[in-house]
Amino acid sequence: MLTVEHITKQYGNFTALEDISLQFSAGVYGLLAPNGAGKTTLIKMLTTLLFPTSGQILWEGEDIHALDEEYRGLLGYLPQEFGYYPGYTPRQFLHYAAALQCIPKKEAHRRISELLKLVGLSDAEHKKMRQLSGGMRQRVGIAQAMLNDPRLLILDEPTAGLDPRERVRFRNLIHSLAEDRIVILSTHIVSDIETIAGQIVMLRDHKLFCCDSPAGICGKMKGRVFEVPAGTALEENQFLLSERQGEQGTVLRIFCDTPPRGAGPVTPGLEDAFLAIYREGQV
Amino acid sequence: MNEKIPMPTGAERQAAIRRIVELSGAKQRAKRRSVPLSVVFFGVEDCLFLTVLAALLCLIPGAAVARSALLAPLLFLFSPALYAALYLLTAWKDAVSGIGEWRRTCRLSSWTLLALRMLVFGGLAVALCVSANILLWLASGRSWSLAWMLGLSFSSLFLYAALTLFCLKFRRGMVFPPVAWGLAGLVLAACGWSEELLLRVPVLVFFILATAGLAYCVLTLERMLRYPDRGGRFYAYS
Repeated sequence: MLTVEHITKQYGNFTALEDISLQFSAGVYGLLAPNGAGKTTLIKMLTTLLFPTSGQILWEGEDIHALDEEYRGLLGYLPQEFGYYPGYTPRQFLHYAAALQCIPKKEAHRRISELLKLVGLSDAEHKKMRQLSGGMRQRVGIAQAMLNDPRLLILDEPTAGLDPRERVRFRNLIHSLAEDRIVILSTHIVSDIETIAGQIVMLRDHKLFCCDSPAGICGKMKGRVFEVPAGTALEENQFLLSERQGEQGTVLRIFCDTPPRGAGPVTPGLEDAFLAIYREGQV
Repeated sequence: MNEKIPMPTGAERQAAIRRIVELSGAKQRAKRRSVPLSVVFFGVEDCLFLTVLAALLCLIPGAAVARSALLAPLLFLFSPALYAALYLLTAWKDAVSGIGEWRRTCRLSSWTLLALRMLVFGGLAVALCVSANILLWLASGRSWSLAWMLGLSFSSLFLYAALTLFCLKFRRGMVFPPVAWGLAGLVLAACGWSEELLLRVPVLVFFILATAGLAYCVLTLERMLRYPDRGGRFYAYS
């Protein structure tokens, strides 16, 4: 179990994260917040790349910095910008990553073949990394993060650069991997985690806003999301979430506490909740 | 509650001590793992090859100044050049490729990798220094003392390497050592009296300086390799 205990991260006078406490057990956790809310800072602290200014992060009750390589050995990490050497093939690159994770050669060979198949890169394993598309390179990154069969898998904006088909494939992959491990997936794209995350962690104003199931978060929005025809003048306390094409043309999806005249409540989705929580000016 | 907890017998105590010693030994043995050079220099082989090639090519014009008064300041300036270029180029390539972030989260400590790289860079620089000095000595018609040339070269190389490791350890920046060395070398080259000054320094002093620099490097690298655990505390950004 991974425990985050009252961590705060400050850069000089700027507080990037304040008093965050969380507990992670096996399952998928979606770290959902707009850009600049502190997601990457939290991820970097979970991966030992940053020290918290105060508080501590514990793995099975022990400080992750004290565990050091033992902790890194059970961690799989895909950074927001996955670095690679362009002159190598995915297989060569993964062999390098396996050596860095101290995986024996034979085991690495077997594992790499399995993972290349899993991420759909068996046909491209001998192409140079520079010849691969952004999505394919991202899949190499996911394979790299999975090499040591990690008990804790942390993915920072993993679907950036993936096309819709690849996104679906990625979601299925993560879902299948999460049975016996902790998967923390940081994103600002709601659809990436709506269907696969058991818990959503939301940050606002650099503090923990909530950690709840998608159903729980949507439940809090129940009776507060409405659809009105396009062109309807919005009142001061009504907040426009989105537009969509309804049967009778364009409709506006709005968030407010009291139902607007002539509008019926609709079932709120996670995206509605996200847009309502992070209204303009809220980070 | 008042029941007394029985104290371990002598045999039990010895067995427990043996077990603890065994476990700590196993942990140490597990950490002492071999890292192939192909892993240490993965992705930066081109930097290694190009830098060594450039250094060898520089020997050709270098031979032309073998008889000139500039030899002493140039020896001081260029003896650590290969070491500096290898370190800076490989670090630059790692930074450009963005590989550093996920590599720091791998089980093998970046600290260990860096120490192994520095060892190889040092070895290559020493080999080049020796061969370059012999070549220059021959090209000068043996007009200089080879021991003096080697002393000057080694003291410059090892003091530079020590400064680099010091800056690395205390996070004083990668650029400071080459800038400091470049400025010192240029000042020496610009001053007419630098050759005379360097010639007056006894060879023994150069070798003492070289030994001090080498000792600092060996101790620092040994600590980096022996305590890879410090990596976590060391290379986290802040």
